[in-house]
Amino acid sequence: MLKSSAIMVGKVFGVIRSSIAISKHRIDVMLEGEVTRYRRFDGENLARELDIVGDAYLELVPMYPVFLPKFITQYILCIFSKPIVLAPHREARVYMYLPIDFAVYVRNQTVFEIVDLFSVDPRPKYTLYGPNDQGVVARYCLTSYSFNEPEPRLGTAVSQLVIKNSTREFVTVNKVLLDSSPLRLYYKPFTWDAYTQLIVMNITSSTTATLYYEEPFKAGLVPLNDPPKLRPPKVYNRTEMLWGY
Amino acid sequence: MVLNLGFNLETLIAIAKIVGIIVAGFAVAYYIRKAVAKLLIRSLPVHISVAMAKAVMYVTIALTLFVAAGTAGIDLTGVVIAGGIAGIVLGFALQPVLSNLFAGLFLFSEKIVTPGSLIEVDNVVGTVMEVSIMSTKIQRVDGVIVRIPNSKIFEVAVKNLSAPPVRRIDFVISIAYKENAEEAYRVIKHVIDEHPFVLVDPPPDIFVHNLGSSGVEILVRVWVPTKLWYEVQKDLLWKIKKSLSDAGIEIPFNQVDLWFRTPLKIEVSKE
Repeated sequence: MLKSSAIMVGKVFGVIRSSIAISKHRIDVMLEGEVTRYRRFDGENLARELDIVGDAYLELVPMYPVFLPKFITQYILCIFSKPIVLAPHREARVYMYLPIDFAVYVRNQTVFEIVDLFSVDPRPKYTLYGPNDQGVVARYCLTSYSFNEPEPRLGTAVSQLVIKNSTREFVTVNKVLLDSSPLRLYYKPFTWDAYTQLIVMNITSSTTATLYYEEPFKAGLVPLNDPPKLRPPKVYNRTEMLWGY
Repeated sequence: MVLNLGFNLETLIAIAKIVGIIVAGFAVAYYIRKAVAKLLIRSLPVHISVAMAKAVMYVTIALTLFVAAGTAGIDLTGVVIAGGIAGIVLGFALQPVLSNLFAGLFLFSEKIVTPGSLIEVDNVVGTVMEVSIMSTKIQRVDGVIVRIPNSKIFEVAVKNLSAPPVRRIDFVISIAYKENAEEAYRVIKHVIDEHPFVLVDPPPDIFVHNLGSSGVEILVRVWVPTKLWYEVQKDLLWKIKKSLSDAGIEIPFNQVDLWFRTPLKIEVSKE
């Protein structure tokens, strides 16, 4: 662990070696003997402060946007700013920005623990997907898509989505429901670039679709060590959208 | 034909018949127990399924012994009459117990209440701790543990407060007639939009629903995750009240206009 310096300001995912500025947040890490002092400022206010004793280091990683203000769901509902109309038996390959939060892990070679979570989104919101009696609560995300791969931006992950229309009708796609458990986040060390894997959305009827979580669509990325709540399932690696798309 | 043992063939056949009935009856009872347990375990807890299967087995064994005794030529008329009378007496005596027992079985099979769910039953609001065959244990929201007979739960309306993923919260907020209702609407909407757990969909609803005696009553309806219903209700009403006060919008006290039928004589002291 290196001593922090108020002058050195890094902007990278990975091991925290110096002060880091993320939007209005600033992280300071100081080593005092055997104690590592961690402090995060939200603007001028001290938002989080803790001391770490022992052989450990701190790591800044992208995080699924479902933990703030508190964890109540693992689903993320992305609403497209404009719908996609797809002809029968055709497919579209699009890219979209998925909002992400930031987590700080304290870790050694074998285990890790989340010690801090924060977001650059000042106003996270939640919504219901499905009917009042059976639906699921999901993190609300208004997003846009493009047919060309966009440049990653701070606070978002780039996601590649293949939408397949397996019906004989035209379909209009307005939203996609992602499950943070099979969804994986990847990041490029020493940058703010974050990505998800390829997601295939198979539309099977006028109201239903199935999402399959495939392999990452870019090389040279580091997979996020998922927190225990969101470890991917070993068998069931898909999401059913039963109430429209 | 006479055997050396002193039994004739008819006696031996009769004994074999009785033994055969008993052996077959016990075998049937054993397999019935297994079949019933396998059937009930789909809808009832294991211990109850096993107990009921055993009860069915004992009834089958009793019937077997009854038939075997009849075959042996034992007159069971007295036993039948005594059993019938005892059955009627027990039926009356155990009526409440049996009603709870069968209500418990229905509760298990229909899964009306399950441990961990927040319910309201017979004016008791709490979390179900345990559903047993005779009664249901509920921990009220104030921490007190209440035992409710299953027959009671079966008879009255049960509200399951934790089953749906979302719940609605309604607030009535009164503002003084002199205040600008549109400004109050903007303030309330801002608070709702800023709150993370007020759901985007179903959308919030804010409207003037009554011109009350003391002020203009604005109804606010929002949907929130069921898990956070209590937390958001506390938080939101406080924030709305604070925001209205900060915006200088008056929340009126109750006002009463008094009208006197005859002119009121008022004496004013000159001191």
